Amino acid sequence: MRIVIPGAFTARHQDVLTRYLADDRLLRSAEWQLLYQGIDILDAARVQTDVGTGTFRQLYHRHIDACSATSYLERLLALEDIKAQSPALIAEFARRIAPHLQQAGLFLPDVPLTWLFYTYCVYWWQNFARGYAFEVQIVRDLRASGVEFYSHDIRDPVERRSAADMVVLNLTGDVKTSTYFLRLASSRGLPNDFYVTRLWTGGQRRLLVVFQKPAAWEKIDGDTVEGRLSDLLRLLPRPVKLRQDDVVLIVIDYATWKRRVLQVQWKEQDDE
Amino acid sequence: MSEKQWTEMDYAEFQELMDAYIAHSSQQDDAIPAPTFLELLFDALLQRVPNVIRLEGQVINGELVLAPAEEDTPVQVRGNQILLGDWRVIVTLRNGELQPA
Repeated sequence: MRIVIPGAFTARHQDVLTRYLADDRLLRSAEWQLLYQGIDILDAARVQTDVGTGTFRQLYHRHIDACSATSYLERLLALEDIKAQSPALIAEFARRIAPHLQQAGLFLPDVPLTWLFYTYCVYWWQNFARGYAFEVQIVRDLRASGVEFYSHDIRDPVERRSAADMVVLNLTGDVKTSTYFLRLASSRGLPNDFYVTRLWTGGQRRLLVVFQKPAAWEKIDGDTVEGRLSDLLRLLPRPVKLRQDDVVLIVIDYATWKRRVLQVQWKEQDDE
Repeated sequence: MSEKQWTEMDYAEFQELMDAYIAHSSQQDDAIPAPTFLELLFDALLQRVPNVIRLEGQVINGELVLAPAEEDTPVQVRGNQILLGDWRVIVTLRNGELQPA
């Protein structure tokens, strides 16, 4: 076996990756950027074996996603309380990765570079698993709140990869954890009208928010206050218009967004 | 937790690191602070090039064979040809062999 790590993956990437694994709360702003950059570089790292060659990304899809994604999602959807029960399920599936890769000859105790591939797989699995746990939580919450919407069937591998997770008021939306949201923004931009995500504000505090394109917010309400990036947490829960050069996004807290969506839907029903 | 790099660890130490990572990352999202997240988000949107499609090439029996580097690539690739809408992009090797850059 031979593993070829792109030269762009430097000792600094290795350092930040180790510190991220140990305790991500200690990373500084520039180090997060370095971490995401390092993970992106590893996408193209190659594993050459007697039976063929594949990139880390391809082998992750073949050995992890294709084998575990659907069964994980079925188990996830069967949980009654996603927030309380999903961490154990996520960990259970993550712990299967090492023996699976060992059996496939892709994670070997005496070949340290294979540890990097194992790390890459666990990193993406955790992001995948937490991302869908978050999506199911939001979908259930919207349903319980009486919001009318369409959501894709995550058990279907084709539908799971649909361009949008849901449609509300004819607006397309995604539910994304922060890591996936950033990866999407850098690889494809933000093709949908809105994105539900959660922001870490320190300690155990996570804030649910919705990022929207201005046209989407116009359809729901339209009222905003102007804010700088550094002002956002202070200005919420009001709808805040953030602008950097040509990029404009409206951010609002999730509960307020949901309430405004319901008001529009009730008004539409009354008008009919 | 040790300050060692994973490259300096023995297998048992590495396993310990990964077991701890699985335990805490199963509980919660990455702890990327909100201001850092916003900064990276807007940087990503401002710096983004419209679309990137990565292909990888191999020379097999003297012929260039291209393949998508990722799944879900929105172009079709056949041998040394890339089908892109109404366009057929044909890539050939100069003098039939790879030239040093």
